[in-house]
Amino acid sequence: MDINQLHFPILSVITFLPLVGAFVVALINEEHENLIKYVTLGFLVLDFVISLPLFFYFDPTTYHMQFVERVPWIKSLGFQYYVGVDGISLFLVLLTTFLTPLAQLSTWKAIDKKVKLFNITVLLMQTGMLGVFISLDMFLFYVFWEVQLIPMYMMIGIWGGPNRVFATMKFFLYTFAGSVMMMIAIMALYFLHHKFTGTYTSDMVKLMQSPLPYHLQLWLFLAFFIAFAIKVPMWPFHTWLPWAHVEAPTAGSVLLAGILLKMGTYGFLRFNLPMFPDMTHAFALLIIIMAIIGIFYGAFVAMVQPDIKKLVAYSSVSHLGYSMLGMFALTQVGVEGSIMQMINHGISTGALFLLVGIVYERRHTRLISEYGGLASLVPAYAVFFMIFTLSSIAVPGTNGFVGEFMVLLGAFLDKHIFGILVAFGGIFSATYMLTMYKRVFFNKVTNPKNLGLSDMSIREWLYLVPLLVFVFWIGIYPNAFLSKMRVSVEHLLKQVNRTTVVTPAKNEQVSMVKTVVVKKG
Amino acid sequence: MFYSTHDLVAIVPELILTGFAFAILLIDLWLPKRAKTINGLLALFGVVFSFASVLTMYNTNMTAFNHMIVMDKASNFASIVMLLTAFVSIVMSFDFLKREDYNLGEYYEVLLFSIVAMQILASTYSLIVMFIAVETLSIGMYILTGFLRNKDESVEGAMKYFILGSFASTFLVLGIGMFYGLFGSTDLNVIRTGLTHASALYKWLAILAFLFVFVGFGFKIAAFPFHSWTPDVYASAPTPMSAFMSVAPKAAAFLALLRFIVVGMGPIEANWTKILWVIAVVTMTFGNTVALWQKDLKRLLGYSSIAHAGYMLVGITAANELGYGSVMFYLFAYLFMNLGAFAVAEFISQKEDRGTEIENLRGFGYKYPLIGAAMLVFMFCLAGVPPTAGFVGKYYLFSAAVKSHLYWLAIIGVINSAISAYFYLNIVVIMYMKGEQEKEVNVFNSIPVKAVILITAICVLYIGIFPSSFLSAALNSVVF
Repeated sequence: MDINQLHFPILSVITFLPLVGAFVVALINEEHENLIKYVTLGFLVLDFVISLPLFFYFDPTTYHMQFVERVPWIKSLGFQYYVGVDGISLFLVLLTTFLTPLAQLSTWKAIDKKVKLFNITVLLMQTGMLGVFISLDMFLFYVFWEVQLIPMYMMIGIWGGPNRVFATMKFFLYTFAGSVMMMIAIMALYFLHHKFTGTYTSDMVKLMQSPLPYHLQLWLFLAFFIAFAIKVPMWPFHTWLPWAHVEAPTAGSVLLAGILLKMGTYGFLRFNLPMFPDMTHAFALLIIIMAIIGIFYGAFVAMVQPDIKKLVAYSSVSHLGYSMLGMFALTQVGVEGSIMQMINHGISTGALFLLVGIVYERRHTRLISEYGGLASLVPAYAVFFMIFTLSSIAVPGTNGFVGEFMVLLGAFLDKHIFGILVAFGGIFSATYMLTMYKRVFFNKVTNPKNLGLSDMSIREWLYLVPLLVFVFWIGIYPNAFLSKMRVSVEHLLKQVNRTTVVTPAKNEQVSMVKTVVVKKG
Repeated sequence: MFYSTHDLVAIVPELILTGFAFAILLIDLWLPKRAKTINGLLALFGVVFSFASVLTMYNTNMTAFNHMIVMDKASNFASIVMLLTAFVSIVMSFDFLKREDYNLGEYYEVLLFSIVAMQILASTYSLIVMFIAVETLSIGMYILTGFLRNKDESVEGAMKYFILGSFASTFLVLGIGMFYGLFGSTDLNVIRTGLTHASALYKWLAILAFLFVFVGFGFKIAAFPFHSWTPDVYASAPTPMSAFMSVAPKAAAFLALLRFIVVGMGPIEANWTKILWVIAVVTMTFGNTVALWQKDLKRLLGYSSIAHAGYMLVGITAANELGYGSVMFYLFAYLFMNLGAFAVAEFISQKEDRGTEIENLRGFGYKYPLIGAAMLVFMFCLAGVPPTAGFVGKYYLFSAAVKSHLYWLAIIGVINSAISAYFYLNIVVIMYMKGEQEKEVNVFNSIPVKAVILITAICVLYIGIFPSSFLSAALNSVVF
């Protein structure tokens, strides 16, 4: 059933408008840097404005895909340009359109070379990221999934720190190696689905409705798991992340943490859970354990980081551990919490990276030991930092609390011990964040270089206030968001909890042993 | 034996090219030195007319000369690939030959004759015709490789190519001889019938003969272990010819190999899939691994072309229609990405066709934004990243393998993709991420070359985003 309540290809417009923007920016002379910045921002803001009807016209009573567009694409294989959103992807789309203009705004001073190329990269990245969240055809999904690697690769590699080349190569190769495994799984899914249902389809909605029999799910589940676990990144696949974050320019870190990592968690929700329900149950415990290790590991490593950005990067490993935990608890509140945690992580961690960027722009160092006593020098900055720090450690009243609480509750409902164990994780995240905050902002000013620090400019206010609004909006009235995802999550869990209907034929075993199919005649 | 004039219809594209080649040979005698470019234009017209005739007869299905020559969609599709390659290489040659001061008519004439041989190779079911075609096209390639006769490397490359090539041909002719001895014919359809009813001994002998013939083809498509000429020849040949050689003869050889394997060797499919499985794996792994250490762009592209031959062998190993079709599609996609990359190599080359070290690309992306962006596209395309033609091509090749349950083959294939991403991206790193060039590097400022780079880049993206019609054409072409 294709619903498009607006009768207007809104998803294509928001996805490809930035691409148009990239072409427009490409035509502007390189010397007009300000014009380039304004035009880019203009396109991104326009994109956000156009994406707002998604929120207001979204029908929360159905789990069907909405704002759907469907055009045949590669006819000989039945691939389609098929896009749409449901309660799960809706907020990730909105988060993307919301966060990118803010990230771009943060680069106006920080990026001082190759401004034109940078802005083109941001716009292209926007197209790639949105494409991932709206695709409902797995071939299309894969195309976008890979496409957004290129701008990110360029962004870290060109505008990054001293070790940028190593960091960006590691980022690209690690992710690419994971995703080519997914490519094989997508192919195999396509052919195996045909074997059991008689139709060739790459339509993700259809694939979610008719999962493969139990014995075929294992390898496919693992292939998707690898790709997404690297992207999230789950412990122990996280080693690319600190490098990428530390070397990336501020905007790159914001988009990486805010949106790119969510593709991994989103992928789990779209592929692993509904398409391989039996394996999801079989692996849930293992994944939960990995998630819990990630939560503690990330927190412990964050505690000893001398570099603020690296600290925030490791805190991401920890936070996304929560998201994975909630998801694989496989309870309604857990999965909803997991999605909330994705959004919250985008907002809080995104904001923290922006804040680190502000002080880095002025002092060109991110070492905690270089700072101290900033609260008296730059009070407004200190307040912002405090609020986002609290949101990151999930203090009640902020967005972080809602997500983390729901995840814990979900995990508790699944198995008490998980909830109890992970509740202690909160203590550690408070430890590293508050220690860092204390060392940077409190005590006396020890480093004379900091005396000249100026407080936040209007532009910086402009990109942090919107994030602040969401910290409290989600923190105080999360229902505005939760109500829209409820039905979709219910439906997802129904898909996860069904028993496989297709009975396997004995000779249709998929084995890793090479078998040659000899044609007849 | 009786031939009718009607048979000539089947070789119209070849005849057109032959006519133009002779015309060049004659006209060249009267051309003054500064007007030698007219030769190139003539060759270009020849290619265009031949292309037009292929297009108008695209759907023809006919055999001629006592079943020695066929014209079908497959041969026409391969012809299109070869003629497009020839067109682009000729355009790349105009200013190149002027710079090197080798603006001779023979260059274009030999080129056209070798395309004729390739077209014949692609349109026959007779092993002996294949052999003649392979020999003819090889002679052309030897000459063109050594065309810069005052450059030692060029001559050395040609010699190497010639010696190894002759050696491979002996295996080819030995294999053909064995087939003739076994089944009394060199026609693949007859061999197939014979093979279907053959006794076990004959089957094993046929497998041996298959291996010998494969040496010949493997040499042409640069499959491991018959690849060793490739890097040297690609690095030393005149750049437009390296570009030409990396695509056109491969297209012909792959189609001939398909005909030989699918039609002739159909009854022993279970055997050759095993052999090709190993060769495909080794070929792509070898090409990609060795390419990691290359410092010269042309040499790197040489190793990369070995790897790509490995990918295409995956499509054949899959032994299903999707696989054969994807091989054809991949050749079509490979044409644009590889010619584009070689055009960039030509763009940075200095007089005497030197200076194609990757290091010379430092800061290239900022100095020449458009051409840098095009090179970026080619590199991502060769690595198989969407939205480029290379990705689509690889996707179909590997999905054909998955369709035949060759999961490990597909997995090894994509791991290779990931390895290759390293050295392709390394070029991007040097272009964009390693700062500016310290010393001034003169580029080869030729408008045709720049046009080739930009147009192929656009084609690569267009095929990557809208592959549907090309893919259908490729899939429909390989119905033998």
